[in-house]
Amino acid sequence: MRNASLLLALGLCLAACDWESDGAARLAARYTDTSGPADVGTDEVAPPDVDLGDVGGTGLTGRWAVQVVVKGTMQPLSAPWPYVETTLFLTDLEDGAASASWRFCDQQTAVEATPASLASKTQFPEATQAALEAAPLPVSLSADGLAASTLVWLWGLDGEALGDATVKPSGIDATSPAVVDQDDDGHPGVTVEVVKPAAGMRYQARWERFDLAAGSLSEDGQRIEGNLAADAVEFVLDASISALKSPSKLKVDEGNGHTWRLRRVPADYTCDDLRQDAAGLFPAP
Amino acid sequence: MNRIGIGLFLLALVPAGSARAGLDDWLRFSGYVQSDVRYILEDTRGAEAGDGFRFDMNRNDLDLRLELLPTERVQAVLDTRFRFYGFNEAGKLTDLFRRDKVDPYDLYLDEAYVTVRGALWKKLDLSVGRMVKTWGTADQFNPTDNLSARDFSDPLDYTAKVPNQMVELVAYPATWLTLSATWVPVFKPSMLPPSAAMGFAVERDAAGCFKSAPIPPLAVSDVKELGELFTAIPACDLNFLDPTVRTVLPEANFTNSQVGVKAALQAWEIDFSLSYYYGRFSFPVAYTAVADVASTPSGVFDVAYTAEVLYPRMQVLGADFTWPLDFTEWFDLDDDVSFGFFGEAALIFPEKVVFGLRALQDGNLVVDKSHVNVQPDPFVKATVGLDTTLPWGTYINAQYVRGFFDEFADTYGLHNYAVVALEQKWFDDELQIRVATAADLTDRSLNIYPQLTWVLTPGVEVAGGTFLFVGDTTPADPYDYASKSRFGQKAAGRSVAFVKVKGSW
Repeated sequence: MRNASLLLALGLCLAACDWESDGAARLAARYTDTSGPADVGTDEVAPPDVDLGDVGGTGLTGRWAVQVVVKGTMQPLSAPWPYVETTLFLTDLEDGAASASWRFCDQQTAVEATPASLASKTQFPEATQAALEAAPLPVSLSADGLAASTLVWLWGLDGEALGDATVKPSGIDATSPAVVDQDDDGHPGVTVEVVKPAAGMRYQARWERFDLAAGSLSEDGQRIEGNLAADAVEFVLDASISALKSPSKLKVDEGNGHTWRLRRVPADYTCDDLRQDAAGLFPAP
Repeated sequence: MNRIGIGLFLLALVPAGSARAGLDDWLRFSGYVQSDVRYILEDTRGAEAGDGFRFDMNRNDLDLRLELLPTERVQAVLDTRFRFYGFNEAGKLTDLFRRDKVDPYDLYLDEAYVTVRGALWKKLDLSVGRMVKTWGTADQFNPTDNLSARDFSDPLDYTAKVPNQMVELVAYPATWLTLSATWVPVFKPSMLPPSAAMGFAVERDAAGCFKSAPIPPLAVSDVKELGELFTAIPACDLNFLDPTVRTVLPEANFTNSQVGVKAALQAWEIDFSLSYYYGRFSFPVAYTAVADVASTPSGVFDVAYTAEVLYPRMQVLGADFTWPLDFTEWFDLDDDVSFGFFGEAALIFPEKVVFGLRALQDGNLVVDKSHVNVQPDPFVKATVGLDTTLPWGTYINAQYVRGFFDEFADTYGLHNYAVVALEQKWFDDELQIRVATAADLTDRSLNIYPQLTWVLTPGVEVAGGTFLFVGDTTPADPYDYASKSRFGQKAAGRSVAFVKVKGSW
């Protein structure tokens, strides 16, 4: 009798075990993800061929494309999301000069958000782009490349008002005296257009410090590369919609694991060229 | 088969029998009129703070029951109920031309069936039609009782059921054995109290800004992540629209029919039964949810929350017993002292239910979560209790209940309850006080149901009392679906005072 009961129970269990209503599958069939692939730039995609022609040159003199890659995490929600920030500059070097200036061209930030579709996508309005281009970063040169130097890159902040600009600021808000309307658009700081996940304008200030290690010209005279340590902080001063007012809580990875790379380019090379060629000029290591 | 066909089939089954002589022999008419008015005693359990201290409900019922006994072997029952709601529902001018808006009413057909005794076999009864079936020996909390869905539209009445069309065969092969088999072709869900909608309600603060959304049955970490998406936005910029909750009903086919078989036995003084049920759980279980967030030019986010619930399939092995204990000789008690011991258990084999949730923002998928809401593992719901009548007329009924009516082994889980009822009567039963309570031993919430009944004259009684909920209206953990208080949560209902008048014949 006991065995029969067990068999009956087992039989019922087996019958019931086949029953399943899967709400997740039901939703998957009803909704498709229209957000597209995440904006993460770490996918292994073959870099496009870049034909720069005969760039020539043996010393430092000439135009160079610059790529600075900084890694860290941001934490708009509870879990930290890794990000890779890639900034592009152009610079003109001159043999024997003590310094040069990096002129801003573009910055892209790839965020590994969870879920991926929550990753933010931003772009610079013209006024912001122009304001950042108009504030080049001075770097020190050595006889055969870049000397070790510290760069402080300020967005929407007055370095003199900060006092020692190399020290990471805190407690900055729209009323802080160090905040300036750098892009002259009537909003504090600089304006960044957020395309997703919520669309709107974010008015922000940013402090970023690059401690560049020295780097020397490569044997073929086409490259100069080195590492850097970095730190950064971002202050949301205001936003066109409330959802964009949350701080992103940047935390740059500690250590000297970030990279800067220079690649010789033609003398008439522009920021537009650089934005187009960047992946080919600076293939992933 | 249409109804005429069924009728002819039943007539063919009727053995020749002597027709009844007089009207009283073959026609029985009974019924009642009842009026019931309720007043909400608090203003903290409504959709918005401050809603309360007002009349909540007024029901006026006229029940008419007709029993026909044309032959000794045929019984036909027709039980109808007219229910008039005392509150005007005319919301616009054109409604004032409609009596059913100004004085809304419902017509219930509670029973309509024919029973043929000795059909096919002299020890076999056949019943066909609209019926209500109750299985089990426990007092109201019957986990083996699944053929007829519950009618909880009146939260004060735990006994009401939703009638359904069914076919039943009952055989009496021996005096100690009764076998029954019931087929319910089409599934009907249980009716819920009006407060059930609060389980999916969005709460707002006094300024009308978003305060909290219903907790989905996900892992706590997932609910927290979901909550952060919304807490990152100022509450007043979140415009949660009233949630839409859809029920996913099974198709009306044979595989979705319900079947129950039962063997009731009597040995010595113990009545017990074994049963099997194939069908569905009649209370809804969370299935899907979609939060569709749309940004607007003003910066406000419209949030449309759409949920789906379903009725999971299940098989139930049941057993119950009742054992009248006679202690009168053992303890030298009066003859009018009685004890009854009863118990009931159901081993339930449920369908696996996976809950899925998605959040979209402007059409883009931003959250995709799932969680097994019902594991496909067998679980037990059970009741065990004791009732007794003491020499001075006090009746006590005490039960331990594992799993409330609407509880399933989902993310909320099964709670444990102590259910106690005390009754005392005076003046030849003309005056009765009854106090009943159900205490959730798991989350320490309870409801209390004191009632005073006065029988004015045989067949006419007046009753008054309160039905009170005690417990936290907010969950202990705002991210934990299972932390909702059973009787404290607003979905359980409002605390009310009531007066009923009933006349029966």
